Amino acid sequence: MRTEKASGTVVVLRPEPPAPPVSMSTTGPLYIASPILLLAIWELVAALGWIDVRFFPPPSAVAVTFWTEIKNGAWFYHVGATLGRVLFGFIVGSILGIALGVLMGLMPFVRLAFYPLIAAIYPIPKIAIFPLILLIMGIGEASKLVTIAASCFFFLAVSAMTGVLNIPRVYLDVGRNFEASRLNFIRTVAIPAALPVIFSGLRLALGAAFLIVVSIEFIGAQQGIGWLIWHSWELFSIRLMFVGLLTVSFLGLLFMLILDWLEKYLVPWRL
Amino acid sequence: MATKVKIEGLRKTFLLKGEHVVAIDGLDLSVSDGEFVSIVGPSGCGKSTLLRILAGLERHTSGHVSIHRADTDHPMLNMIFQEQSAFPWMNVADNVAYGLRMRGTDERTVAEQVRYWLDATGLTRFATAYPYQLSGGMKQRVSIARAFANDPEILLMDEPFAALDALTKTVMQDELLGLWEKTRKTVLYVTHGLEEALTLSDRIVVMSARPGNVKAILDVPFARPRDTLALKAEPRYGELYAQIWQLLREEVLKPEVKDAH
Repeated sequence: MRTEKASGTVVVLRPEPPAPPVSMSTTGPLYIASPILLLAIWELVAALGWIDVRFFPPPSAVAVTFWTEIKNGAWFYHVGATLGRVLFGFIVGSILGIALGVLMGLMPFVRLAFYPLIAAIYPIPKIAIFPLILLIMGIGEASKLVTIAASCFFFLAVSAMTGVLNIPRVYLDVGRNFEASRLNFIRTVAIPAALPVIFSGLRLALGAAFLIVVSIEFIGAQQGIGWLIWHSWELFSIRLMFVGLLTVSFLGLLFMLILDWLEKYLVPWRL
Repeated sequence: MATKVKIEGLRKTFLLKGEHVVAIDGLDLSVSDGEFVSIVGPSGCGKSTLLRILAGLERHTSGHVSIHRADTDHPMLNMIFQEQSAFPWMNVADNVAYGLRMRGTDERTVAEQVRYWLDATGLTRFATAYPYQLSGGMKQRVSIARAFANDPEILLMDEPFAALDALTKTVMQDELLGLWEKTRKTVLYVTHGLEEALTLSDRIVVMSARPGNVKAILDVPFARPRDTLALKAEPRYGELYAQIWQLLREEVLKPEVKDAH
């Protein structure tokens, strides 16, 4: 037998050692490192005089103002007002939106009757109808709450309807085959199946609720974070303005985390 | 034996792109109480549609369908679907309890029944698991347990094991056979698997290609309880297999009949 000289090259595949488990202790520092780094750079360039501190006060100065506002109670007063409006509008608007959305998803005639209306009103920025609501309801809390609720309502009506319409047919068949009553069907099939899509609607609605509440407080309120930001512009108190901006950002983050937690609790399943 | 299901001259048409397509044309079939009947046929012959009509999920176009209802508080019929049909948002125990709860059964009875059927289907360990945590075979066990726990008079099964691998399928057929022999419910079982049909049924209905109709009905004479392996060694098994295969072959090779109405 003739042995041939091997031609070509030998390719060696590299092994990979098992990766350490990913936990909060490894990802956590990374999570907060970037905001802290940003603040540090900001502080540094402010101290070096590279940025105009009249417009971008250093974080330390903002922190001092923040502390003053907390101590004299003004911060709680304004946060309380904004929180109340957002919570009421978000919860009431979302519940009504989910109710109509689920019915639109399940009943063709409800869908036919409401969909053109929803589709036509949905794209109007709800802040644009605030003057109209002011005319109808007067300058009070009610007009603010209604505007916030309305903006949440449309997000949830659309997402709940989409969620229900996308339920795989077999689950609807199972519900019918096991003779679920209409109410039981909504409770055990339609709502749980649509919940993942409803949650993405809730996230959008929450963002909209903050947008609307701050806008409304700019023009039509005597208290609230939006008022605080607007008022600080009038006083030319940039530090106070940053306190307001940070507060909105903090509240938004807090609410998103609450929604995340709620979703983990209510949607422990996957497809 | 008493007639449980009687179907005469069943016709079903679908509207497809503005045209009426005849799915089932003049089908006659009667099923006795406690009988296990399999339905085989080429794809699109309307065998799933037949089950959906019986389940009340669709209405037939014309013809006569009657189901004899015993004077009991059992539900009339439940269906086991081909695709994953255990609710992903309920854990295994809640899935199995579903039918009972929808009928307003008291929670003590529900708990008893759930315990029994979880045990009978080997799911006890997974009672609090969600379907996404289970394999395909386990998910289908949940659907089977859900239907059996509801204790209907008739079980409709639409290719329940079609999506499973060959090994799991054989195990599940064995288990189904065991469960059925305990309960002796009337079963209508749609399948593509001839071995499955021969193993499980009392009779096999061979359907023609669309428009669907009964082409032949064959008796499966094997004694019960059956042993799935020993069965395959019987000469009659091979004969019946070949006979059904020949009938189906004719249908699959038949040119499709275009029908305007």
